[in-house]
Amino acid sequence: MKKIIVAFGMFFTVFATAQTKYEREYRIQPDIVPPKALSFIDSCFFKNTIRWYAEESQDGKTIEAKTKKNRARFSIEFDTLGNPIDIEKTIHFKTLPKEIKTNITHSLDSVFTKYTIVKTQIQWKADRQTLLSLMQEKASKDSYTTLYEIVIKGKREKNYHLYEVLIDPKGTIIKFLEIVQRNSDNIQF
Amino acid sequence: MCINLLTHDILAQSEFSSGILPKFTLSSKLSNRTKLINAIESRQVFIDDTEENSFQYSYILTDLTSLISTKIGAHGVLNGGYLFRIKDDEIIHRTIQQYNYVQLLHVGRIGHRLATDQTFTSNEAPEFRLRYRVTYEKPLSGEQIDSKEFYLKFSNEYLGSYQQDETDLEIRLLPFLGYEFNRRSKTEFGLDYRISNFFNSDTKHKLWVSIHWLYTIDIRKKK
Repeated sequence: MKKIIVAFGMFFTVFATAQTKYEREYRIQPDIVPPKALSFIDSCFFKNTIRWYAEESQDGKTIEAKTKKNRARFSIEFDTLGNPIDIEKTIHFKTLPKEIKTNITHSLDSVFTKYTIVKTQIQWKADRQTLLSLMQEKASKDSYTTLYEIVIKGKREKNYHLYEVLIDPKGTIIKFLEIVQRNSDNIQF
Repeated sequence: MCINLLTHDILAQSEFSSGILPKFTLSSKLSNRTKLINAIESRQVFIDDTEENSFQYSYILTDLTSLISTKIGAHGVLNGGYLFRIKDDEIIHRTIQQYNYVQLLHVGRIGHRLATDQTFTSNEAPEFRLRYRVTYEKPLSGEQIDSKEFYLKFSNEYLGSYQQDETDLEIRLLPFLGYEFNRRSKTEFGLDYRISNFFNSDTKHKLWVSIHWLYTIDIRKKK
């Protein structure tokens, strides 16, 4: 069964073609944040400063709260009405369970000739109450989806680029985007 | 010891000059990995305390630079090219080699530049320089710089030079405020402070007000 899952994941990765990542993020003040998003963040008991951002991407416009808890970076994404969409927590790839690491590594090996993992975020998708329980580190009876958003410096077709890969614990690639880096002429010349 | 240093400072002759450095850089994408960079920069002085009349406008020079830039990996860039300097009736030639590395941070990015250049003129011995510059660029809104956003940029550069058995060290500090119009166009305004001639008694201080416009065009063949 495990082999079938890995093969299924690889089947997906072979057909994964990199679209370009478009994203514009800018700081916003809490007074324009939807009240439902503010109350969600209040219930999470963050002690550190909360920074609010609006984000425009190919997936539409969202509101994002960024902060730290227990030295980990958290990013909580809301729709424009203030309903939570997902929670992302920055982690070290090596801290993932061995089986998940193996599944992800197999998938990435099939896409890149060489690669380095630059950043790993665990992403939880669920309803408001379940996400709140996860943030409060309480056990939740309801199911939730766990995905991994990984930024990779990878070599494909002889060229190195940065990529953002959204992948599930079985190694199936959900989203595969090439990150277009900003022009660096101003720090070179 | 302290008295000696103080006396040295007081007696030391230091030179100060100040002016403007307008610059335009045009970057032309030739392929996914290669760019041609053309830049024009002019130097105009308003204050020069080595002159009898310290406050006086004078045009100093114009630099025309062309560099070929090739990406090495995801973050590295190799540049090589030539600078043509017009200073009064004199023509100065400079060959340039650079390696750049850009580090992406959670907020902003850091650029490292290691460069060498060789300067040739008809009436002076060739000058060889080795330079290292570190630049930190920080968005003023969000974690990355997007279109229609301001940013800050701080650079610190060290230039060692060798010319006819003489060596010198120049240190540069460059605080800038930048604005990104869009992915192709940005402008930067700030100060370029240079201190040199440390090893002699006449330390030179130069303070430039710099305005730089950078524009990118894509001349790759459309598929």
